[in-house]
Amino acid sequence: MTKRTIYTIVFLIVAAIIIIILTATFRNPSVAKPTRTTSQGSETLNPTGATSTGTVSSEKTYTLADVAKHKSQTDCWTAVRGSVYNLSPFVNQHPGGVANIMKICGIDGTAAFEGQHGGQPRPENELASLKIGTLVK
Amino acid sequence: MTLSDRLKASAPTVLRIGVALVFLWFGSQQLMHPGSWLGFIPKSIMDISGLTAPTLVAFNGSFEIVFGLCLLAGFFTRVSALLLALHMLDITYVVGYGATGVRDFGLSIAAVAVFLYGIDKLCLDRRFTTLD
Repeated sequence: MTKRTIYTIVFLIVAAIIIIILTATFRNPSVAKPTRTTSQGSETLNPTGATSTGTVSSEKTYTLADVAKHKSQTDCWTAVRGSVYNLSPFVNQHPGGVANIMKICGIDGTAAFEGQHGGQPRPENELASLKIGTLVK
Repeated sequence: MTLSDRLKASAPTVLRIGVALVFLWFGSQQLMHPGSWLGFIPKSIMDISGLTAPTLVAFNGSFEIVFGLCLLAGFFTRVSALLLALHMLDITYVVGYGATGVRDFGLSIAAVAVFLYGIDKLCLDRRFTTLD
């Protein structure tokens, strides 16, 4: 085994230790249960990323007229597949840019969301964590 | 040395530093604002690893920061670039085809390019080239 190989192995071990230490440091309870401020107040995210407000806000019902009232960058709701989502905390984080996500603010964004992100785990998981209720006619 | 030669000589360094900065930014964002990244963790990964989403976000961010710093310094350049490239290719696969996936693919290939080139003129590794 050459010196280069030995040094590489040592480097990887040291890097792994540092990564484990950093992971343990940054997964503390105050970080592990981040809150997200919404127009209805703060929600606590459980480890799966889904909301658990305790006030059953995810069971509230909204009409499209309700959704249409929230169509700005700081107050953005949309409806996808019969559920209503508050996208406000995520608008500035959208990897595709603010403009693209704002296209579905205030409307039924099912077609646009499924056309762009249908079946993709990350967007689906993120959307699920932003659910606030059910769409009714 | 002509201007063209100087530009050519600087290209690998510029690429390495640019790629490193991207990983450092994303890594730091995941450690500072984990809540925004929880939704990106696939449930399958949580089931396989047995770890929670916050832990996986912290691990992901730590990984990108540690190897991003190594890449920035040019320390174990090839190893760091290869690990970051594989890491990014995995993320690209999970994200899937789309605007984000294509961008992540581009970043992966940039990291592969750094791995292929290896040590450039400003790497710390140049001090250790006589290890064998």
